[in-house]
Amino acid sequence: MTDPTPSRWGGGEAESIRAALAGDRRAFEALYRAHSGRVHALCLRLSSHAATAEELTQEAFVRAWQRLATFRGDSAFATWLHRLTVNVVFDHQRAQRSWYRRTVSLDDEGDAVDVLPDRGSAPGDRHDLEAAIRRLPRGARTVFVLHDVEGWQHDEIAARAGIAVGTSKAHLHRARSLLKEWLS
Amino acid sequence: MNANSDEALDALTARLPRSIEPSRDLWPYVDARIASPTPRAPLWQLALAAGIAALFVGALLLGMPRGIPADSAVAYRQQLDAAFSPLRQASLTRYRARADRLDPALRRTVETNLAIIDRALAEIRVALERDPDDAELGQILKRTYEQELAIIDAVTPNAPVDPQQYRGAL
Repeated sequence: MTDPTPSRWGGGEAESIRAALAGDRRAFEALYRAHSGRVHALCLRLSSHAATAEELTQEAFVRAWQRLATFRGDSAFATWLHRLTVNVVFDHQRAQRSWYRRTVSLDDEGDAVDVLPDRGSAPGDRHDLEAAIRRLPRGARTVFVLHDVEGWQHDEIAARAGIAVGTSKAHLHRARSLLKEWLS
Repeated sequence: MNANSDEALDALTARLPRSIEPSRDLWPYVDARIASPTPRAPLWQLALAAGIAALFVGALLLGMPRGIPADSAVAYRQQLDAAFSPLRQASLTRYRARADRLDPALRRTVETNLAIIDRALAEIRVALERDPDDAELGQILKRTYEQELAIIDAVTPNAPVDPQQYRGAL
């Protein structure tokens, strides 16, 4: 995975991490303030649902607090936190799929919406792209966000999502084709 | 700018903001949750509670058709309300009976959590009025009910329900 954020394991953040590990919630709040925007952006793009994204953001930070001792500083804190966040989102999606199967019987691509994005702004701007990403089928959206937005490699996406590398590439191809069609 | 080429799509993607702040400050919710480590009741109590809860919720769900059709989100929510309402009443009654004996700091934490959950339930119901067919909101409602029960169960003995155990039943 390519992490676009420079390593932050140092300086004030290192102190915050050490203090949080000792149980200091104020120190953990500093970490929350520094990273909540990026964690929320990731949750929002992966879930495509504002209320769910906020719930997942909370869950990610609660899990980060619980598992902070597993952060050893061999990668940037942001990288560790984003991987943990993706796991939280995947756990949520698996639970959701299980629930759907028992109730409304939607298939894995049940949230696919093959319609044009809203045209509240000039065609092809980044707001349009955000709207179009929300409308992608779940698998295509997940791979597009992780690969093209977050910079992950297909093998890591495949390992985390429990899919084949070829499936990840197929999802990305479909996502990019749909986005180009919608935004052209 | 159109995105009808790979280069144009890449350029648009590169312009996406890396950070999007939530619509509200989520820290108080995170803080309330990490401030309340949940002591567990003795295992035999939880096992008994889980059995009772599974029977209770299972009995409620027996009348629920399998493979619910398109309007299932509304039906599922009605089932949730029917299943959780008596459990919530019993849990809150049990909590109120013991609240005075709790450590004041723990009591403040619990009641902060319960107040947050109460507001969340109100917000979910408002959202469901706007969009009653939203299946995801139904799922959030279920998890919120479970969180409320889990908090009370953590601080009251003879807990009748372990939400972790009946989670799979709904």
